[in-house]
Amino acid sequence: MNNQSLEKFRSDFPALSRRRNGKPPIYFDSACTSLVPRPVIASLLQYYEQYPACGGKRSSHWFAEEVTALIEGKPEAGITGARRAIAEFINAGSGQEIIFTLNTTAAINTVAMGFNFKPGDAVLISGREHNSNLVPWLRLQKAGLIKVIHTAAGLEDAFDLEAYERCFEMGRIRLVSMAFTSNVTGVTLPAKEIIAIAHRHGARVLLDGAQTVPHQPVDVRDLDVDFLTFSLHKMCGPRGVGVLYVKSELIGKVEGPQAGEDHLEPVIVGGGSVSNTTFDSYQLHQGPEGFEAGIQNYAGIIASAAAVAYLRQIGMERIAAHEKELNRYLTGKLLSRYGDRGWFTILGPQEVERRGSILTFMVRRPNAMGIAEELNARSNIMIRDGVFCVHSYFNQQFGAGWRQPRSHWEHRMIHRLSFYLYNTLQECDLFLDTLEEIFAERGYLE
Amino acid sequence: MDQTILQLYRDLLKKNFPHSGEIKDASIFIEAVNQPMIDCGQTGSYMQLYLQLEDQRITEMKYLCVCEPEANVAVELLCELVKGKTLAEAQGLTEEPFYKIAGSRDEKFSRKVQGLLALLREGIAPHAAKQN
Ligand SMILES: Cc1ncc(COP(=O)(O)O)c(C=O)c1O
Repeated sequence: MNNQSLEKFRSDFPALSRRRNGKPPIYFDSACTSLVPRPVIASLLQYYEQYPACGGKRSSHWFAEEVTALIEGKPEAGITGARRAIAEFINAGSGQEIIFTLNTTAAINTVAMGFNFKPGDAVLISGREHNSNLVPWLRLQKAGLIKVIHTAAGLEDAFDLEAYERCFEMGRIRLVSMAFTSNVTGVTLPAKEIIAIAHRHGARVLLDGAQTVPHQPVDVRDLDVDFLTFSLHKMCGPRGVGVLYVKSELIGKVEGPQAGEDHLEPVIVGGGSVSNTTFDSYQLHQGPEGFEAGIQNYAGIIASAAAVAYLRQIGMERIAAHEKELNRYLTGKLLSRYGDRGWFTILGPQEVERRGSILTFMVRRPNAMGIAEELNARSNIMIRDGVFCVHSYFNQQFGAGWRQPRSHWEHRMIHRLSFYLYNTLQECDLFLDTLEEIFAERGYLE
Repeated sequence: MDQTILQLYRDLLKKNFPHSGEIKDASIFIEAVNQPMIDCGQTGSYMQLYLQLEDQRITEMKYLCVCEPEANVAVELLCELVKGKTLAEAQGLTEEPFYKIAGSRDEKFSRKVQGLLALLREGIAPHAAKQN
């Protein structure tokens, strides 16, 4: 696989044709949110121009029928529908297992608030969770409903399956909820083994796939995962659309759950999620309909199908290989330049293969702030610095006071580059040159 | 980065930031965390100022920070500039001496100077009121 093979897709991204100070943008922040290709923009526009009506089988007129068909499908007209398109993208059994949400955060919160936890249940998370897969559980813990347990994650982010299995002795774990791929280290967990062990112990598993689904093939049936969450905005799709995949046995029962059976209840209820109401009662829809109350982001949901079609046309294996190639190149160059200096560290495993599309490095120099800002100002290079919503991990690794060191030589600044299909080796070279300039100017290389 | 400020910064690096550090039992302690006033973004920047007073005058000022180089140059200058001043005089400190000593009016540097002066004024106001 060579880097040039994806070059042709760059022209699909209008944002890449912009210029500032005569220079193009270099976007290395796709782990935050990705750029958007024309077919997705066209799909969004088409909704607003052609059929800006409601879906969800509410109205049955011309426009609404078109919206409903584009979401729920209309096989006789050859329309797959967004729900099914998303299901196929992750190899779900059916579109009935796909709930559209606002984003990954909303999807995880839906499980946190809607899963039938009992007092004393425990939720097991990993040691490097995004706040979106930490705070919802801490809140339940604070309310006295559950106990939160976490596995250990070192700077190498190796996952110890035996230590993980021992966690099941620490409490009545009902749910394992873990970032499938870390947004800091880039490491993808051995999910299949994690799930098999959890199931052996009678626990369900939620994988936060926010950084996985956009970058590699994911097969929910092969994994046998119970919940999978991800955001379309990180995968060339529209903003404001997330997905909660739920195994059908957890939401799909027409007769409803038996007492005590694992089950997910809708969190937001109201119009569109019920089949009947009286002044004393309501009848919730089974399946995703019951979870999508109120008028939805139809433009975004429809455009989700365009996003996954776009990615599929390129191929997820090919995207993953391309990202690794860029990561390998940049990692090699950075380590050969600064690896021996003692103040430059790549976080996560040193083998690039395990870091996928993420390259996070730490600069431990006085005033290592403002490097991202300078990369942006000088060469339009957009990266992220800070703690990436993973405060707990860094606090654990470096100690709670690490952000307020008592000496200039203890300053730590963390920077993340995240790659996607539209990045190139040339962009990596420009990044390297600009970074070298900044380091040299600040006297770090003397 | 502005070349003049950069040179000043590199000198600081060589001299190991002469005013950096804490003053135990400082007469006045001022702190800003993640505040736009020191304009170091939202990435964990912090600035602590320690002032020692004797006979109503500032005899020493030190600081601890995680901030950008421009802010560090500005705070080092501030430590020099307030020395020997009363709190009222320190409150009246303007931006001009900073630009004169630095030999630059770089926009980013200037924002840090303004932020620091505002922080200092706000921090010493209650103490200055007591002095009068
Ligand atoms: C691992 C992980 N989980 C959850 C999220 C939250 O995603 P969203 O902001 O789309 O809800 C992110 C976003 O960066 C993430 O990287």
